[in-house]
Amino acid sequence: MNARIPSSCLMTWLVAFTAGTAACIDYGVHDEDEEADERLVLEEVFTQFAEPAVDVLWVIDNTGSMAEEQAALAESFGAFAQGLVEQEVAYQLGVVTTDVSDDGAGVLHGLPWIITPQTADPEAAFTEAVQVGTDGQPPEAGFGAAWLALSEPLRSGANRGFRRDDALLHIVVVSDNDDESDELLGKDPAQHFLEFLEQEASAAGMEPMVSAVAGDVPDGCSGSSGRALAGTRYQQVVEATDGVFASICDADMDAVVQALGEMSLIYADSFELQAVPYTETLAVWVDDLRQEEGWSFDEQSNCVVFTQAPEPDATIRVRYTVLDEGEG
Amino acid sequence: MLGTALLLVGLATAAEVFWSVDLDKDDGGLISYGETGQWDWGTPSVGPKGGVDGSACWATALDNWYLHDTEDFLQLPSVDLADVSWPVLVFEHWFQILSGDSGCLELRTDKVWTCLEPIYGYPGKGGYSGAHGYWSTVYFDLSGVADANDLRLAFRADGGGAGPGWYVDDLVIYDGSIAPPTIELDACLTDTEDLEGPYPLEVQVTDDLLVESVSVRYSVDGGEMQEAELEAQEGSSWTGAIDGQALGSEVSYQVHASDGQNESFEPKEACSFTVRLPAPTELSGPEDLVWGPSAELSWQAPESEHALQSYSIHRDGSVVATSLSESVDAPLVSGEQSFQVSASFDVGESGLSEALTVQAAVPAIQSLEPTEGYQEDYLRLALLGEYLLMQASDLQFDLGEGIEVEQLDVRDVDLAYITVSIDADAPTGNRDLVVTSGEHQVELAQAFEVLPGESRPQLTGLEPDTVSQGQEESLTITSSHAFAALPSVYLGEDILVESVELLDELSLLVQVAVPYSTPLGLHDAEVDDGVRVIGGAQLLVRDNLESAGTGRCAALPTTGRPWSLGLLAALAWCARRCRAERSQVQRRRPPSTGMLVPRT
Repeated sequence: MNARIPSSCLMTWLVAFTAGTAACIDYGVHDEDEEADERLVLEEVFTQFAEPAVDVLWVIDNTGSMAEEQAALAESFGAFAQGLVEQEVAYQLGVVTTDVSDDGAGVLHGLPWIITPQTADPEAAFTEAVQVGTDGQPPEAGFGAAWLALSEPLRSGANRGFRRDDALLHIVVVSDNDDESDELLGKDPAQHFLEFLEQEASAAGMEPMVSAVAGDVPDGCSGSSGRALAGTRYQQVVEATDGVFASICDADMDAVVQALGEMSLIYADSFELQAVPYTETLAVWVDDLRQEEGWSFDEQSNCVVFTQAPEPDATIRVRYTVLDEGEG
Repeated sequence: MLGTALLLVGLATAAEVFWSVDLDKDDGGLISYGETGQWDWGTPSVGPKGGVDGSACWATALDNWYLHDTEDFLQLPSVDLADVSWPVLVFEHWFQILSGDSGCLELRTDKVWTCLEPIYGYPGKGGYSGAHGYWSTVYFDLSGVADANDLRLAFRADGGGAGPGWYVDDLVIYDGSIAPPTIELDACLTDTEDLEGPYPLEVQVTDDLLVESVSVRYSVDGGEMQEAELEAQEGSSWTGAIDGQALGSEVSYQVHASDGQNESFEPKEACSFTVRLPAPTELSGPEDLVWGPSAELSWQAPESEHALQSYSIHRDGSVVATSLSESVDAPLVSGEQSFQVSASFDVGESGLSEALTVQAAVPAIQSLEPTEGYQEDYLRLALLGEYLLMQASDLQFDLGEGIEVEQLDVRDVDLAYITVSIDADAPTGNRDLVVTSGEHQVELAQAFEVLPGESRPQLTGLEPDTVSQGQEESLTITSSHAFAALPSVYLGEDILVESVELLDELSLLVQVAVPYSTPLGLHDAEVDDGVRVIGGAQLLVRDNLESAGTGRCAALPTTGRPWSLGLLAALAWCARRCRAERSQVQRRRPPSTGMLVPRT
């Protein structure tokens, strides 16, 4: 599987990103007399992302039973956007429906159809965009709709500009049915969709994430707006992409949506060192303040891992004596 | 067209009430009998579901459709009419009676019951039948009738089916003529392109007395009421006209008739028509959302006796374009908008066509910040767009001669940062901005001004202006202009800037470390406050071999362990090592995303 960070730090990032996007400057010195000891001291400097970017594609079921869920989702925008705004994420939000039966299949909804921090009233725009109506036709093809939206001809046509090369892609499906994209994606839609996401990861250098608000697996669930079928395929893809799977029968849509918003944050909390350190020599500064706690060293990934990701644009310095210069 | 501009005047009559019943209190003494005796008094739950002005009335059946294949009667109570000079029975009724069934008012004469014709006749042959789902008034002349007991409402139904039935209320016997004239209009006058007039009217008026006068009462654009008399023609026909009106006038009118005692107006809600030239028809345009500045609309030319000259295209009520043909590339605004088209004739402007709603997203430049720069400036401009749908692959930015784009950083579809350099000989003055995004090109007039280079912000001081390899140093940098924000500082190759602090709006305190790998000689100092790179000062880096005994390798922070001192060999190793590390790191170092990259 392609890692969002092509490094062993992958599992320690909130959401991974390509190597080098956290700027790194280092230089080395001789610690002791050269003749006495050849050990090298290195100091590495990282810069936390200043303006991370994420493209969030919402795939909303617009069949007859979804009115309440759409309304709840519209009301939850504040919870979703709070984290993105606080973290100054350069987000782009788009909405498509699971209805792939007509010419509008995969075309982003709303005006504007791409919601950004620059949108005059992002909340109003999102509210309008997610209330896609309930006259959609089966099959409810969540994966198929996302695939259409992110593929040509729509990618550079009607949905032009939504997908950015330097942004994380987060797809969020909201449906009370399981995926029914067989006609578009073949016999195993979930596997085909994962393969499509692999291509997306290769092109963007970041692995997309898929989350779903769907019926509990394996038995489905019943909520205030009726019965939801088990979202088995959705769960399969969510697990494969480290996304969030939430029950559509959950009465507290705010909490669900807030979790989705947090998953879209892409600040690093882990920084890979170029050489293997003597762990007892590690010293860490954030913006010139020595950090005695709040971090640890993960030997397996050779990363300094923070309990809480450093602030945007923060300078992280790590000094250590080299045990092994590694690949350097 | 119906309107409500005119007020109705109530009945004016000299007739007096001789007998009446209040069916909301009791059944009025009427007697139900017949084959099924289905006439019933009370509140109906079918048909009109109530009386004309209360809850109760008499009905063939209250809670079901009437029974069929039967004859049933409702006889009036005894009322001596001998002393009434001109008895007239009036009542309100509502009926929905199947064809083949009927109701009528019967009069008993010599023990024989026969249908009595109402003053204005039955709608059908021999009685009330058919659909009449509203309350109306009927009048019967009872001249010669001695007692109301000789009257009955007769309802006859065959075996073919049933309906809601017949409902009666507010039975009154007047002494005197109570029946107003009846006025029949075929239809209201319709909108006209006749600017001269007059607009002719013909109505049929009947009355139980002699019709005394008929007139049309009208107002123009809600103004003062005017009246024109109609003249009697053969039979019950009356003709007249409304005077010609100016283009655009809306005329509301009713016909008034009087028999001297009673008067009436028709229609109850006034007719209205507008004097206007015919509008274009079949306006059509894009059904889907339009991403662009304009959309093609087309329509059909109106048919008119006047000479057509041109068309005006209205967007949300304002004219935004004109056309000599039946199509136009109409300018759009972002959002939903309503288009209509009018035609200009030699005699004036037509009315508006039916509306066409168009949704659009119009690419536009919202702002460019900052709005000015200097010759020899190096600037980071923020371009905010609306529906520009900017993407790095096809965005072009043009501020004219002498301004070159160095870097484009598209943050999202609405926001891009453009790093530009302004030539020393770039013409000063205002510039128009032209942005091309995909297939669209948009302009913002006078978006930017180039100012003379002499007043360009400069670094005016750097103290100390000399540092040595292997040292840390605190520098004070001063500028001619206030910094926009806490800036970053670049002091050339291999000089490490460890911290930057604002001393005041014009001064910075900069901590630097100078490794042994730092090239000797003069280094240009450049300060980047996020908008502009400010230069103009230089820092001299000296060789430090003579001071190696007190130096530290690569200016490491003081939190480290004590560094070896005084060994030239160690320093040389260290410098070599630093260079090796740097070459590694620089290969991995990404382009800065938030900082300006000074020109080389």
